[in-house]
Amino acid sequence: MKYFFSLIFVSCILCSISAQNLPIEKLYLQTDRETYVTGEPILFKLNVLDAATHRPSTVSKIGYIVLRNTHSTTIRQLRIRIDNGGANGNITLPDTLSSGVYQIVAFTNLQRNYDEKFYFQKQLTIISQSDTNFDFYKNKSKPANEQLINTNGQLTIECDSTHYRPCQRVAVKLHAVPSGANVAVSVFESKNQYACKQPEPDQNTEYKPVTNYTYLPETKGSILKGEVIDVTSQQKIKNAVVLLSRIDTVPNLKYAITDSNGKFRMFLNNYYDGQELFLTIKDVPKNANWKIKVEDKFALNQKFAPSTVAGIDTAFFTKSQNIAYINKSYEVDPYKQEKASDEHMAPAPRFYSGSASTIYPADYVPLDNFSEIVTELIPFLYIRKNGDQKWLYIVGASSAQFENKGAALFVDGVYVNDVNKITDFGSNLIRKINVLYSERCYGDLVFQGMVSISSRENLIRTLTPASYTLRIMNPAISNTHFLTASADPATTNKDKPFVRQLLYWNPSITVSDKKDTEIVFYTSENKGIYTIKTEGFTKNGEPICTSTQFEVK
Amino acid sequence: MMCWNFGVLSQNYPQLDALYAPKLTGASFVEKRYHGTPFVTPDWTKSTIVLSTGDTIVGEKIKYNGYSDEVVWINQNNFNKFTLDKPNIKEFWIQSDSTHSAHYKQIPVPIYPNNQKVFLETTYEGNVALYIHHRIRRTGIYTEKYEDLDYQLDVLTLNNIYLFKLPDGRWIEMHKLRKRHFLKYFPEQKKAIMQLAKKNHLSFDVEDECIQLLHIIDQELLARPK
Repeated sequence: MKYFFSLIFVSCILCSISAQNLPIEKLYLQTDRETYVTGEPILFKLNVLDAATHRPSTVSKIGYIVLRNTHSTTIRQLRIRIDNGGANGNITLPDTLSSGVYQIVAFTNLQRNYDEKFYFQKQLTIISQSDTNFDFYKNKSKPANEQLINTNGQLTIECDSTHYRPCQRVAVKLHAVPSGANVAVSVFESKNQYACKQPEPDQNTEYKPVTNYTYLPETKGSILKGEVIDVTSQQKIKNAVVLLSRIDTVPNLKYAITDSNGKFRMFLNNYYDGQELFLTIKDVPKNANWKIKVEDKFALNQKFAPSTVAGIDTAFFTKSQNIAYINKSYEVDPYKQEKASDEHMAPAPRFYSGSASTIYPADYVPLDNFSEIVTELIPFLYIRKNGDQKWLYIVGASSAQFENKGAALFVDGVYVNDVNKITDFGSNLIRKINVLYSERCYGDLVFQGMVSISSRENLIRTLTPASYTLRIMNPAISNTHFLTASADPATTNKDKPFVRQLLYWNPSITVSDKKDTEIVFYTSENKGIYTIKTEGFTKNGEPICTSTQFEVK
Repeated sequence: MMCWNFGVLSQNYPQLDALYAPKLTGASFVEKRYHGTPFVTPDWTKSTIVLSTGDTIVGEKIKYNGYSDEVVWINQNNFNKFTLDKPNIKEFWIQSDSTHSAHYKQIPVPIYPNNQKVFLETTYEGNVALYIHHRIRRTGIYTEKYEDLDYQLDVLTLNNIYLFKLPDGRWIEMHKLRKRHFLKYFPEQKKAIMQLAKKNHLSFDVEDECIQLLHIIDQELLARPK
C-alpha cells in the first residue's frame, strides 16, 4: 500500500513538472512559389502545430512574419491572426527591391522563449523588374547530392493529362488520404520539380525546458512588453504606473505597473490594431529622467545565412520579368481577395461608463485659451499651480481617503498628464468638454474627477510629447483578407493578355478520407513547364507533400 | 494531490489572467448613516460580475445597495469603496450563503417609469420569469440622540417586489405572492396549475416554493406545443 501511494506521489510530481511547461509550437509556412518578381505578392499559408501532439496549436493567436534580405535588413514585417493553428495571407513585395535571395522567418511570441533556430525559416528568390545581370546568382549548376523527392507522405495527385494547350481546362484529383488532410495547393511555372522535404526527426529533445516564461503566449491577442528606465542612471524603475490610450471619441485607459525589473506587460486586443498608441508614466517625480522602452517583437538576433541559389536558368528570370511587366502594363490583377474570418472589434476600455456634464464652447462667446474656458464655462473646476506644474482641481471631487492629485485629463480620448499642454486651447480648437465631478477609480488607480476634451482636429497629435511619454504605431493585423489565384480565361478581359506564371493557389483545401477531391483551373497563354505542389498536414498532424509536373505547349 | 497539480498547472497562467482581467470603474462611495441599512447584502461578499463588454470579473467583493440600486465594490488592495458604474454592469452573482448565490441582472422593467433599468434578482427564467426587486425605501425619519445632539436619520426599509414576466411579454407586479392574482393571468391553465401545486405540495405564497412551482408550470404546461 505504501509503495502504491509512493508511486502515485512520484507520478504526480512528474506530471506537475511537465505541466509547468506550455506547449512547444512548431511553425510551417508554405508559399505559392519559390521565385518572385518585385511588385508581386508572396502568397502563404502558415500552420502552427503543437510539437508534441502534431495537432494544430490552440495556444497562439498572433504570428509574426519577417521578410529580410541577405544583410538581415527587414523588408517587410507582418503581424497575422492565427485561427485554430492556421493563417492565410500575402506579402506584397516593394517594386524597389534588388534581385537576390531573401528569407522569410515566421514565429510566435511563445517561440521566443526558445532559440531562434526553431523559428520557421525559408529562402526565396526575388528578381528585380529592372535587373538584367542577375549577379546574385553565381553558381548556375545544380549542387551535388541533392535529394529530390517529389512525394512525402500519403498524398497522391493525378492530372487528367501531362500536356495541355494554352487556355485549356486542367482537372487535378487529390486522392483520399486515410485520416483526411488540409493542404495548400499551388500550380506555378517551374522547370524544376518541387523538392518535398524529408520529414524532420522529432526535435523536442533539443528544446531546453522553460520554467519561467519571459515571453507569454498570445492566447487572445498581442501582448505589449516594455520597461521603464531612468535614462541618467540606467536604473530600472519598479512600481511605475504606465498608462496607455489611443485616439477615440471616448476617454480610454489601460495601465500596467512595472515589476521589480522595471518591466511591464499589457494585453492589446483588436481595439488597438492599426492604431497609434500613446504611452505615458503617471506621477513622474520632478526632475526625474524616466523613459519608456517597448520591445521590438520583430527583432531577430540570428543573421540570415543564405544558401547558394542553384539550378535555375536566368532565362526563366527574364521570362518572369516580362510576364510581370505585361500584367502590370495592362493592369491585370490575377488575384482574388478573400475575407478571413470576421472578428468583432473589442470595446474600448472606457475610463467611465454613464453620463458626464458636457459643455460645448461653441455655444458661448469665443474664449482664447483653456484658462478662460475653465473660468467662464466650467463650474467647480480650477487650474491649480505648484511651481511650474499645473493640475486640474475639481471642488468636492476628493475624499479624505486619497491624496488629491487632480482630475484625470483626456484629450481626444488619450490620457494627458500635463495641463500645460492644453493651456493654449481656445474655443476655436475645442469641440466639447466632458467633466466628471466625483472622485473615481479605474481599477486600483484613483483620480479626483475627470476632464475630457474633444478637439476639432485630433490635436492630441500636435502636442509635444514629454520625455517620459512614447508614441508607437501598433501594426494592424495583416491577414484580415488574403489572396487566392485561379486562372480562368472566361473571367478575364478579352482585350488584355492572359499570361500567368501562377495558375492556381488555394491555401486551404480539405482532402477527404473517403473520396477524391478535384480542383480545376485553366492554363494561360504562357507556355512552359508547370509544377503542381501540394503541401499540408493530415488530421493526425503528419506532414504530407507531393508534386507533379505538366507542360503547356 | 490533484489539487496540488491543478495549482501547479495554473502557475503558468496567472500572469495571463492578470493581463486579461478588465478593470472596474466607479465613483468613490461615501457612507451615509441611516436607521437601517441601504444594503440588501450586508457583508462584503465574493462575486462574479459580467460587464456590458462581456468580460467577467471573478472574486471581487461587493455589496448590493438596494436604496440607490447600485453595486458597491471594496478594493482589496486599498480597502476603499467605490460605487461601480451602473451602465458597465450587465449582471452579477453574489454569494448569499455557503450553498447559494443570488443572481442579479440589470433589466429594463416596462411597468416602471421610463422603462427604468433595475438590478433584479433573477430567481427563474423560462417562458415565465420571476424577478425580485429588493427595493429599499426611505420610510421615515428617526431621531438619534448622541452626546446631547439630535441626529435625524432616514429610516430605510426593505420591500421586496415580485415581478413576473408572462409568456406574452407582459409584466405583473406583486408586493406579496398571491396565487389568485397570478392565476388571473392564466385563465385556461388555472385548474392545471392548482393541480400541479397540490400534487407537488408547493405553496405559491412561499417564495422558494413559488420558484419551484414556476419551474414545474413552465415545463409541464407552458413548454407543451399547442
